Amino acid sequence: MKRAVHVLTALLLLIVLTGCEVFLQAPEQGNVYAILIALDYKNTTDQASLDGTLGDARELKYALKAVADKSKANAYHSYLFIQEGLGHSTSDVVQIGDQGPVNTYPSSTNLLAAFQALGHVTTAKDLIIVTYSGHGAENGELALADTGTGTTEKFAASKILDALQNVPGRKLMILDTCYSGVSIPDSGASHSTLTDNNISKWYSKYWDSSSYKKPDVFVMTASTNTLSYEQAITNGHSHGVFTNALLNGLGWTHPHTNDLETIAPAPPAAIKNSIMSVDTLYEYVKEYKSSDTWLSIFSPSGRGQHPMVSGGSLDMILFTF
Amino acid sequence: MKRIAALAILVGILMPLSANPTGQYYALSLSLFPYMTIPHYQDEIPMRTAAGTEVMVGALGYRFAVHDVSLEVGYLGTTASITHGFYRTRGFDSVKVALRWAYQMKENLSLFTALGTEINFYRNVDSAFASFSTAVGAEVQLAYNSSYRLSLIFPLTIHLRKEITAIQSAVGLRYQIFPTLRGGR
Repeated sequence: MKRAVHVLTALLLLIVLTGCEVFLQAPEQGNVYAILIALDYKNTTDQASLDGTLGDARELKYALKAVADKSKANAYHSYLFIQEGLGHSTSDVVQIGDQGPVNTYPSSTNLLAAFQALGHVTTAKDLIIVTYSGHGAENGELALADTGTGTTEKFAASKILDALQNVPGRKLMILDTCYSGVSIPDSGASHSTLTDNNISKWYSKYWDSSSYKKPDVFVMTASTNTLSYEQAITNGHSHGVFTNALLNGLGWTHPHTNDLETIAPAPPAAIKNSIMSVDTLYEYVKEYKSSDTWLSIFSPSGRGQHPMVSGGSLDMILFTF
Repeated sequence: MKRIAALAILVGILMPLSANPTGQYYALSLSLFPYMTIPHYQDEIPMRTAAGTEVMVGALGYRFAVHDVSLEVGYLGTTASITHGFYRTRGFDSVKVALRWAYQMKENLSLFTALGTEINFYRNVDSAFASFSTAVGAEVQLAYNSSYRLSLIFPLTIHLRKEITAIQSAVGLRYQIFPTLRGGR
């Protein structure tokens, strides 16, 4: 019997000590690229204007920079794609790496050009974060900028995800829109408990023909299949409720001065055990829901705003500290 | 003083006072294990390491002379895996149902096997999945009397998830209570 105990103990130790993480060298961190898209819809008639979106993108730009600077990431590059006011175009351009200038008016043409340029610049070590603050529809379409046609351009979020597949690196797309959860791709191995689901669906998922792949793009959204809301933070200063929670998780606090470059954010609350991952950020945003604003829009019936994130067995590391 | 009294009561309960108990019983098992995940998808590394614990309650158990069968329900929890590179596996909590059969080979040694199914909930991301599991292992009897039985257990469990096959090599304790005194063999 002693022999059996010894054999089992040895087997246990062997399995523990052969944990791959101990022996394999972790890859080093690369650069961080952020593409921040926001529209206020004041130049179009088919969508209500939004007050908090531009602030979402502009403040996320600096909040992410502060986190990247604190982390082991090499360099931080950010690109704002903003539709603001009554105009239907902009002369502003950005240079993404050594690629040609890309106009920053958030039309599908310009955004796809930006992703194509990124695809020539990034490597597998890099982190690419794309944020979108604007309107979204129940069918998963985003309302991109009105280019002078009188209506916004309806563009499926899945097309942006497709474009991002061709960009090397790990990618996180953050959508602060209504119905944004419908744009989260099926994981192939698990089922969201926030949408219509039950035990038979979980077992059906086990046996169906779908499969799980390491996600090329993680998606985090402001809501499941419900409306998403904005909130006034201070006089004349609003944010999406979700983005405000996200900013807090990144260490960005309110109120703050108008000169965003001079703000020194607090240590990010979404860091756990020296890492910030998709899950730690998501968990922070969910818990932030307990604030008064979240509670006022969260209903027990499940029709209130609830953030959502890509399912499946893997969590993606965003920043290491 | 309280500690000594508690210890004396525990020893009193566990001391072998009579023959190996048989009959209907309730069981409580607690085990700890490394949770090694082998992905069915392409990952940065071939296996990731997490830790887990399992608590099983046997509400319907019956011990014959050498056979022991029980239907058990319980909780399984695993941590997120050790972070390596740009990913880690997510931790989850599970509700488990298992059918367990043990065979007593020697006075203090039994072998057992179990088949189970689980509903698993990722801890942070509002997502659930179903899975199946199978286990084999050894059970070393540490102490018993006509009402109780305490064993050291070494289950090796294969957790069959859709996208992952996981190995749990656990060490644990199993405590059985025999509410009706049916005597020994």
